[in-house]
Amino acid sequence: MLSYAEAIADFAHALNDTDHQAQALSDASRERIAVYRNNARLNRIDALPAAFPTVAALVGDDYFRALAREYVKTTPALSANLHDDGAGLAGFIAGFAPARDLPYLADVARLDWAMHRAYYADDVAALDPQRLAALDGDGFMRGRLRLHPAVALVQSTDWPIADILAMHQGGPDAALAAGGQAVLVWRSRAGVQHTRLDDVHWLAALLAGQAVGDALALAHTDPNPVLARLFADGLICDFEDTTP
Amino acid sequence: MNKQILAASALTALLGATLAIPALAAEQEKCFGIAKAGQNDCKGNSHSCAGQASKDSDPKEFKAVAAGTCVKMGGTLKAM
Repeated sequence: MLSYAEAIADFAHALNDTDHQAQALSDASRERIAVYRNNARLNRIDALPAAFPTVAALVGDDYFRALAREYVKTTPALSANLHDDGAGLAGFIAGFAPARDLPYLADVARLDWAMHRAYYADDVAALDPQRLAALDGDGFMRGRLRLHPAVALVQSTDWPIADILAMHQGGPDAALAAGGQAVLVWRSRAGVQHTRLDDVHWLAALLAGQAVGDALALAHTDPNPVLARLFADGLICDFEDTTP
Repeated sequence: MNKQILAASALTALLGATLAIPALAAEQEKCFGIAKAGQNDCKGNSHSCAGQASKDSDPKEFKAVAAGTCVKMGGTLKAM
């Protein structure tokens, strides 16, 4: 007799491995597990284009479905929520031989994923402005800001991901020779927002949890418009005061 | 940039942003309730929950050729 945990693991194994003869199943069910497996995979395959609309548009429906099928076969779902599926797709594409001719595809997938996660990120209360009003400049520079989980900075070293995204939102055709670009993704009350950002090192440092002063010192252009935008949209959620 | 000036201006920028929040909230209120299509609803998918995909029709090889907008950008697309 299998324990419940063993039965679940055995069943999961049968879903991922077509040759596995699951002990957890009756003989009659074992013959029909392919139906269940196929439906489980199809549900995941059908959900992926909604999370990766730019990738899907770039390669077309047939290619994307074939790609999604390979991903789903080799990558077990980590959550019962289909909106959580796809975290590993960018990494999968990067190592996927048939996609080698489209070297920018993995970075575009990271951007699609950041926007998808920004949409579904949990709500987090914004920082009370009174907390900042009580600080002097030095105290502010020594502290750290914690940003909302919907905020993401997606950087591509080699590819114009901002132009590629813009092209799929009605903009001009992207020129791949334009080189690497970075996109800031966040969520406002109106939905998921994004903008191309050229001066990114300070924000990357801020997101990584470096002290405000150390992060701002990396800025080559005025960081205030971006900071004000993030604060106005309630995306600065906490200030860690490191004053001794 | 001078660190002292930077500190003061960054803090001012943040505090200034809070003044804009009420106006922003009112302006964006009408966008509330626009939901992205969900994928967790069975009926939203191309087949029902009853198992209409009755056979495992897994193709064994990846044969698809990219046919989307990547063609427009050219350059890196080769025939496979």
